[in-house]
Parts: sequence; structure tokens; C-alpha cells
Amino acid sequence: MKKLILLFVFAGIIFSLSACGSEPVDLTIWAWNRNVDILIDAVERYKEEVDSEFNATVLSFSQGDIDTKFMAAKELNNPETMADVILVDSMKLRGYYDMWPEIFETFDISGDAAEKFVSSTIEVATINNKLVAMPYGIAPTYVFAYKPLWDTNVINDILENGWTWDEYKTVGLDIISNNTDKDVFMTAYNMRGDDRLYRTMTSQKGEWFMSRDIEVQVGNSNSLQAMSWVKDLYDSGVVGHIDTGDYKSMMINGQIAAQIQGFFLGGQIKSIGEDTSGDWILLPLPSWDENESSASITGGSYLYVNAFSDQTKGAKEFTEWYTLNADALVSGLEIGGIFPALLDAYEHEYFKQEDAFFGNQKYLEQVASNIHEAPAIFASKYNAYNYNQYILGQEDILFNDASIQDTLNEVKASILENAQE
Amino acid sequence: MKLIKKILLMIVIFIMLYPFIYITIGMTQDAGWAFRNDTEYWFGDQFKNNLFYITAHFDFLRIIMNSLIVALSTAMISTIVVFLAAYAVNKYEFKYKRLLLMFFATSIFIPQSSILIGNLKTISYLGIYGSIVGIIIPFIINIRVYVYLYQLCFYVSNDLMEAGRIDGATEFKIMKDISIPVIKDKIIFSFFMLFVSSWNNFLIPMIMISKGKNYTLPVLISSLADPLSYNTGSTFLALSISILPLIILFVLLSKKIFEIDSKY
Amino acid sequence: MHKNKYFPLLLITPFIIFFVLFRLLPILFTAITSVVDFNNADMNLVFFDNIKSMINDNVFWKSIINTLLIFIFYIIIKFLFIFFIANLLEDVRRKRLVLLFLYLPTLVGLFAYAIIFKYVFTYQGVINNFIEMTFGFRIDWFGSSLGSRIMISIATLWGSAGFYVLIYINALKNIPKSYEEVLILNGGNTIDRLRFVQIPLTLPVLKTIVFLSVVEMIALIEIPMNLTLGNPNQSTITLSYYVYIQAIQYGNFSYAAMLGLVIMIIGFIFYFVRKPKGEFIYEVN
Repeated sequence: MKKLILLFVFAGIIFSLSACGSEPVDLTIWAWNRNVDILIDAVERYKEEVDSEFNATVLSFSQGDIDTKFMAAKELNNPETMADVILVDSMKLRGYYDMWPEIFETFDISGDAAEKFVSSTIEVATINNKLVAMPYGIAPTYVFAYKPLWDTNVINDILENGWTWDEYKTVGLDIISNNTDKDVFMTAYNMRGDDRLYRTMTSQKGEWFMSRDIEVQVGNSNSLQAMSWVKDLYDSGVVGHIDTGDYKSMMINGQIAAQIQGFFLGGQIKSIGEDTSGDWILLPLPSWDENESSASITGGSYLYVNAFSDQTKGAKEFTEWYTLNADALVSGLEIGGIFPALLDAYEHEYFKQEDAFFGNQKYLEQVASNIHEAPAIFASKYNAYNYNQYILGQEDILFNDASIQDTLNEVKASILENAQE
Repeated sequence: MKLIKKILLMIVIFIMLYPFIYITIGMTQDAGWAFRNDTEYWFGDQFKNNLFYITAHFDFLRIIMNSLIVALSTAMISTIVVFLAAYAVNKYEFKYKRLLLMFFATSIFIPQSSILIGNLKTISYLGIYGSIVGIIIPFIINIRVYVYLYQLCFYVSNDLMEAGRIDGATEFKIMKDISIPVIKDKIIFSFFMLFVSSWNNFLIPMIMISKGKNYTLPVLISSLADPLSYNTGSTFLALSISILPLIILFVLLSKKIFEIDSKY
Repeated sequence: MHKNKYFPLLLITPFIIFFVLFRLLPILFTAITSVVDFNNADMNLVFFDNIKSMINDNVFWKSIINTLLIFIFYIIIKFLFIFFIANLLEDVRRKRLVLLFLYLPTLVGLFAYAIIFKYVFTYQGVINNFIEMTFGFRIDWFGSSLGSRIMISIATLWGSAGFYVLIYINALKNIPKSYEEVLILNGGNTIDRLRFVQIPLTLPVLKTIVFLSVVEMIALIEIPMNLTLGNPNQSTITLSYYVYIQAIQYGNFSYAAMLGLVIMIIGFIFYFVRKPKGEFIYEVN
């Protein structure tokens, strides 16, 4: 009798031991757009290389929808309805964290591990001395130059010696006067809704609307300088205003000489402008001054883990593995055009390739060469509001000839006021 | 003059139907088609690619099934609930009827966005957050349909109903055999309107869906239509597939709907 | 009317249950959220703060003006369209077929129109191509407040026109032919017919159309949210859209709840002004 009981207890222990601990991980991951493809690939790799029992469903939601879901979950206080791993844009990260710090599982990569990433990404994702999300991709800003509009000597000069924002204007005026058969711009975008040029400039100085410590940067000397450049470029016709979306068609129509945009633009024009292959080349951004770095990162994305999920451990393991895995990230770059934030990835073979689309330029290497110098820019939880206020100011300055100083001061004042409440 | 009018009419119809034409052409074209200035307004060859993009990222069939089940269920339950209420209010007197009428009437002014969070909280407390039931139950009430059905009830003759009572029929029998047959077609139209409304319902389902099992078509379309993405061809394709069943149903039912000789 | 007291109550009970759960209860929650802020642990009484914020909130007042302006464009274009179509349809025997076509666009969610218009109304887009061909210039739809608001009116109209045409045609049917004959005998033309016969005799239905349009405008959110995002210069932020922005973009749930309540009150006031006795919205004659 005793033996039987012992046997049962033994069996019971063995069964329960085998039951707990071997629950396969089954995650839900939310992402948008091309990141969905990239993450599906990441999941496959993780399955092959680390845990064959691992399973994850990558759901595609638009960014705006994920925002809405986050806010609703916060207000209803049901974080279990959020996914286990969620992609987040650098612009939204701080805002999300301030709204709901508890949902962010913190990562513990100190010392060496932290240095594996482009430093600005770690800076942005470290809030209150905690790393709240793993850097995933960055948006290095570059100049997409359309060679047929240029004088080759100028291009080579820029590649070797760099250029300044003042020179951007003179080169631009030259190009425009040499190409009078159609409307040509150096850069064109929706100047009523997009701060991209301004942001690129201030980001080179590590500034945007607010500092990490919620100090307003709009209206300071860098801000004034950047804005006066933007206005000057617009007034002189070097930079053009157009409705949303049309700049891509203008680009493949050969009307834009030096579009300033995030890295992902390359993938987009490749897909719609195959017959312009070979006519493009990546140039570094103009810098504020000679001998200053022109590196700029105007955006990025991170993966964060839902601390209230019942699979936090598995989610963390996956996220850490993936974001630190150069091969997987480069595969992602190949699939979806997202530039990795992991420095190791830049050593990969893939970066040494010459791209025919860009006239056989080693364009990836080009971008990777100075991207680690890019300073961090911060987006606070007031960012959506600040952005709206800034855009109103930009509209006034550019289209109504309002005074730069006064308008920026007004924007600053309204940003301050909003931040007090 | 009549000829000019007819031509004008055809132009107007063409313009009204233009979005459908646009979508149908767009779904066969690549992503950049909508952005190009010199686009061709004819069919392209990207239909398969666009479809493939959708099926590679979503469980398309499952999503369509979800939308179908939800819309059918909502329409069925809602038609019954709303019709019974409209009928009761139109044909019978009872205490507080005036008050109720006023309540229902003013509720037409409650925009979905204003009570969004409140609605979600209710759904959460009922424990149906995120489930299929949660996408159906909150949408049973439709005030427009209620008003429409209320109006319809005027065409049911009270005299006939009285006659039925004199003959000793129960109210239920009267409703079943006398009242409903008169307006049966229009009730079917209400069913259709409720189906359409549920089929196109976006906001609350999107917020509640978290695991992908209950994904519905509008959420799919919203995901594809993300301004940051570049999937216009696939977006149009998803839109077309979303609209097609409605058009088919509508054409089938149209005979019953558009009797203009009788009042609407 | 009859004896059985319970039958109607039975019929109406499910409706009332759902109504309470999904109309009244949410309003209650919204009201509570606007009065008390649960986010800060000490549950401040924020009601008066919210009111103060609202009074000082330029964007809120702007959204009221925006909604009003869009409504005006909407109603004008709508009536023009309805009268025009009704006139065109007069001599058409197969009205049913035409109405079918006109009604089709109402089946599509407004979201779809927002997406399509986004591409079609760009400066280099289809619509401008056409306008340039006929009139010789292009309109900056997205760049001007006027253009954007008209765009929103048109987009909304697309999704509802068929329904209104249907109502109007049915109302016209009820006008005794004799009226029109008298007018024509006295030498009246189309415009006169419109002014002296059709409009006066369909007035109740016309009022209903206006009423329903107001309801639509107050609730309008999908089109501005997806088409113009409130631009340019916040000129296309409608009331409901602003509530959404405050709640979801800025995270000010309490304030958004208050705004939501205010919108409902505006609607109710409008209703009572029109129907002081609390009658039903539109009655059949």
C-alpha cells in the first residue's frame, strides 16, 4: 500500500514538473506595414535557432489604430487586451511611457550590451534610468539625389568634402537655373503638414521641440537659425510645397534633385520607379558648419514588452534575442528596408553591397559610416500637441510671411502653457 | 429637352458611381498608381499581387467569415428587437409611452465618439470585451432603423387589427398574421440596412480585437490604408471585396425596396 | 386601444434593456469621467476645471465654427443635388433603376470615401485634371480651408445623397398634379414650380432632411479623421473629431468626456427647439 502511494506521488511530481516549464510560448505581436513581414521572418528564425516550440502571431494594425488601442486599454485598465510585444515609434515612446509606465517591461542590458546599439537609441529608450524598450530600427536622414539634374563634379565634391546648409541653397539655385524645362526643386514636401526639413536641421544639433527634461527648444538660437534657413529655402524656390504623397511621383518624374528624407524612401522609390534605376545616389546631409557632423536620425522604432502579459518572460527573451541578432536584423533590412539600430549589423556582408539603383554606390555603408554620431532627439508626451503648434507656426511663417522670431515665440509660449496643465 | 435631361442624368449616375469604378481599377494596379500624375484609367495586372499581399499578411477568408457572421447575427437580432419595439410603440398605448418616445428620439443625437469610452466600459463590465459577442450586442440598437420601422407601422391598418381581435386572435397572432405581412418587404430592407451598418462597423471592433481571431474587414482595410504604408492597390482590393456582397444583396433586394407607388 | 397591457411591454423590453446598457449607461460613465478624474489617485473634482478649459479652448470653439461651415456647404450642395435630380427624374419612367444606382454609394462606409478622395482630390489628381480641362485652373483642395471643407461636405454627401433623394422623390409623389398644372397654365417655368409648388408642399420632409443633416454633421468623424486630419490649420476639425483627438491623441479623457457631453447637450437643445413637445422627428402625412 505504501509503495503504491509513493508511486502515485512520484508520478504526480513528474507529471506536474513536466507540465510546468514546458508550456510553449505563444505570443501576439503588433506591428504595422513592412515591419509585419520583418517580424514574421524574425519569428521563423527564432523558431529555428532557439526554440522550436515557440510560436507567435504577428498582427498588422495601422499605427493610428495601435495608438487608439493603447489609449483605450489605458483608460479601461485592461492591459491584458494588449499584445505581448508591440512595435512603437520613437515619437510616441516617451508619451506612452508617461501615460502608462507600468505596462513597459524593463530590460536589463547594461554595460556592453547597451553599447551595441546606436547610442542615441539607447538614450531615447532609457527613461528614469530604465531601458523600457529595445531599439529595433532607425530612420537615418539622407539626401536622395537625382543625378541627371546635377553636375557630376558637384556630386563628387559633396561626397568627398560634405556641404553646409548655405551651400545646399547655392547648389539648389544652380540646379534650378540649369534645368528650366520643368518645375524642379531640391526638396519638395507638404509644408503645411510636415516639419521634416526643420526637424532634420535641429536634429543635427540634438534638438527638436523639447529636451529630455521637458525644456522647450523651439525659439532658441538653433531653432531660429533652422527656421530662417527653411524660410529662405522656400522663398527662393529651392524647396517646394506640394500635397501629401506627390513628391514620390515628382521624384520619379525627375523633378526633385536632392530630396531630404528618411532612409526608407529608398525602398519606396525603388518599387515605383524601376526605370530610373542607376540615376540615384545618396548624399550626406548638409551640415551646420564645415567640420561638423551631418548625421541625423529623425525617427526610429522600438519593440516593447507588455509587463502585464502572462508570457512576459518568453516575450522578453524573444525581443532581446532578436534586436541583438545582426543576421536577423539584416534579413529584416533586406525584406522591409528598416535600417537596424544594432551596430554589429553594419559589419555584415550585406552592407558592403553595391546597389545598382544608386549607381553602384555602397549606399548602406555610406549611411552606416557616420550614423552613430547622430545625436538623440526626444519626443515628450506633449509631442502631438507640440507638433500641431509648430506646424501652425511653420504655416504662418512660410505662407503668411509672419515674423520668424515672433511666431516661434508664440509657439514656444503655447507649448509651455500646455505643458503646465 | 428630354434628351438633354436623360444625358445629364446619365452623367450624374456615372459621377455617383465613379468611386466604385476607381476602386475597381485601382485594385488591379500597383501601389504607386494612385499617386502618379499621368496614370492610365484602365485595368492593370497587379490584381494577383495585391491579393497575394493581403493573404500573406492576413487570414483573409477567416476575416471575411467573421464579418459575415457578425453582420448576420447583428442584423437578425436587431431587426427583431427594434421591430418589436417600434410596433409596440406605434400600435399600443401604455404608461410612460410619451416619455419613452422622447428618450428614443433624442438619442439620435448621441454620436458614437462621445460615448466611445463609456460604451467600452460597459462592454468590459459585461465581460464580453474582445469576443465576437462584444461586436454584436452593443450594436443591436439602431435609432434610424427604429424610426424607419416606426413610420412603417402606420401602414398597418388598425381596423384590420381590430377585426382580428374581434375574431378572438391573440395580439401575437395579429402581429404575425396581419401586421407583419403588410410591411414584410420593408422589414427585410431594415434587415439589410442593419447588415450594412454592422458590416462597415469599425471603431469599437478595432479597439477590442487583440488576438486576431475576431478581426473584421474594416479593421483589415484600416490596417492596409495606413498612411505610412504604400499598399494602395491592396487597400482598394480589400475595399472592393468589402463592398461587393453589399451590392449583390442590394440588387437582389431592390425589387422589394423601391416600390415608389406606395409610400416609402 | 385594447386590453392586453403586457403585450406591448413585453415587446419593448429587449429594446429597453439594450438601450439602457448601450446608450444610457455609457452616457452615465461619460458624465462620471467628466466630473471625476480617476487617473490621479486622489480623485479630484475636475468638473469645473474642465468647464474652464473648455471656455478657454480656442480649438473647441473653432471646431464648432468648422462644423457649422461644413454643415452650410453640405446642406446647400445637398438641396441643389436633390432638386436637380428630382427634376431630371421627372420624365423617367424607370425610376427604380436610377434610384438603385443613386442609392448604391450609401452602402459604402464613409471611410472608403475618405481614402478615395485623398487620392482623387490632390493637386495633380483626377478631379483637378478635369477642372483644368473645363475651366482652366486647378484648385488647391487640401491647402485651403475653403477647399478642404467643401471636400468634406462632398465626401459626406456621397455617402448619404441616395437616401435623401429617395425621401424627396417619395414626398414629391404626394403633391397633387393639379397644383403643377395650374402653375404651368399660368406660364410658370421650372424654377417657379420649385418655388411655389414643390418646396412649400414638401416642407415637412425638407425640414426632416435638414434635421437629419444636422445629426450627421454633429457625429461626423470618419471623413475629417482620414481625409484631412483636421488640416489645414485645424479648419476641418469637427466637433466629434475634436472629442476623439482629446481622448486618444492627447489622452485627456476627462476633458474629452466633458466635450462629449456638451455635444450631446447641443444636439438635445436643437431637438427641443425644433420639436418643443417632444414629438417624433418626422411624421408621415
